[in-house]
Amino acid sequence: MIESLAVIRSGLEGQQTQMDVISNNLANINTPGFKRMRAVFQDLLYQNQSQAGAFTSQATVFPSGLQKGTGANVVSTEPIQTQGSLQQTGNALDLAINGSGFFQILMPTGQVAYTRDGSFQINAQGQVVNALGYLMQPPVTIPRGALSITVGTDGTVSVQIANQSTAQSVGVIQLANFVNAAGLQNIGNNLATQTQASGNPTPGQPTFNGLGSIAQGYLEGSNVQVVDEMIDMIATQRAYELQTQAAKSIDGMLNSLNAAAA
Amino acid sequence: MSEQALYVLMTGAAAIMDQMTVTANNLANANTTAYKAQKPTFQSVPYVEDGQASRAGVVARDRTADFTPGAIVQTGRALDLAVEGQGWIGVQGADGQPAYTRNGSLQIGPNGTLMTNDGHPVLGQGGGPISLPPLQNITIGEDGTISGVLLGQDSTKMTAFDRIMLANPPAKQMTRRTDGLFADATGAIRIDGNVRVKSGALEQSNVDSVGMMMNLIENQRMFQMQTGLMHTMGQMNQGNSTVLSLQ
Repeated sequence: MIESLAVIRSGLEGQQTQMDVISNNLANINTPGFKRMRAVFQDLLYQNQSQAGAFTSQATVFPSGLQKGTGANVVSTEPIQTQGSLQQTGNALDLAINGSGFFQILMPTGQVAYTRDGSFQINAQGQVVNALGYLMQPPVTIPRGALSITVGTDGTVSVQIANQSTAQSVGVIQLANFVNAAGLQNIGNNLATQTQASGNPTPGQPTFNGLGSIAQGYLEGSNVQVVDEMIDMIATQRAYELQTQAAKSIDGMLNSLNAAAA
Repeated sequence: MSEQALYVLMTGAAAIMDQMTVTANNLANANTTAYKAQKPTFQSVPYVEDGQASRAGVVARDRTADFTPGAIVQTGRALDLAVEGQGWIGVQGADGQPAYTRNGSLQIGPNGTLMTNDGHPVLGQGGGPISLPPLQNITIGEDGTISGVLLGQDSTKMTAFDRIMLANPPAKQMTRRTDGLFADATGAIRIDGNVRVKSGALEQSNVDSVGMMMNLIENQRMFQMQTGLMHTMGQMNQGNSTVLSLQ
């Protein structure tokens, strides 16, 4: 009897999750390299109360059955891997990937994480690190006394040393590509790790083998569109309202049933 | 006599409650991609005694689904497909049987299988699941042709791979499976080359919120009418027992 309430409950929970996802997108609107997430809804199982096509007599069948749905749920929150806009910063170690691929970051645990956030810095040893001080993989070290750092579109890092006439190459930044980048698992701090769903990384040099190019002095902004999020938020809120209204109606019905028994 | 009336009212109330579950399910799926609303309806069940139908109870039934297309929303994601107008995307159900969906939010599994976001492999024109090599710049044409550049190749070398099975079985043969996918009741696969898909877009749920709201109100009022009558029947019974106890 109260199954309709349970169905509505599943819907309300789904809308709530959707709202959480939208809030997270909006909160990360200024996070470099952030990819907006999308809540993926799915209808739950159906129960066949009476089967369409069941025989009503030897020669006739029910033209329709009764299927009771059991509601909706959010199956996954999937990142939408579209390019974020490139924002110029002028900072030599702000790198944006224009196209596909991820920077590789060595975490203190020894595991490699992947990110689109290219705001790099140099630590005391001259190594290129991310905002948390984790090393870029493969490591690139900027020698002491470097006047300027240049990163080519193909990831070649060269530095100009004082009193030297030619620039000196100090390493090549490599990117990693995934068959299913949406399957990467976000672990916070703009980092993601590979999963069985994402497949193994295919590392390579930028601009080769389908990898994007590196834009020095730029950061990739998040791909969150405020307008889209606002529209989604309105739709979610209205759906939530309708569903609470449905819960109220069901409650009203149960109430009148109680009154009849009185 | 009034007991019989009570049971008739009970079937009415129970059927309305069933309808409420259907309406609740539609509302819960207001945001489910390409969800097709359930269409509730009632059916009268006459009670035949001594060759005469003295009264009729009621049961809820549903006519599988409302196949009106939902609104199409741009998403910009290459693996999002919206079926334009009529037609279905062929997928493989968990039971291995071919089934249909209009939910074109696709993804590529770790071993290259093209599947829906709830994990059902998408079928190719040949009737089997589609397995893709690692690709970059994947594109799906409006007839379902998948093309892309092999990972590690020059981006000018676009290759066409499999073609997604697009079918157009008659709506009256479509039945909803218990997992929410649809199946052709006749079991035949009707590939239709005229079905068009649009990449970078998704079809929204076709649940009509206004209609559902009206359903809610109507169901609630009808239910109240039944319970009100039940109450009246109860009072009549009480009246009978008072008369009897007076004797």
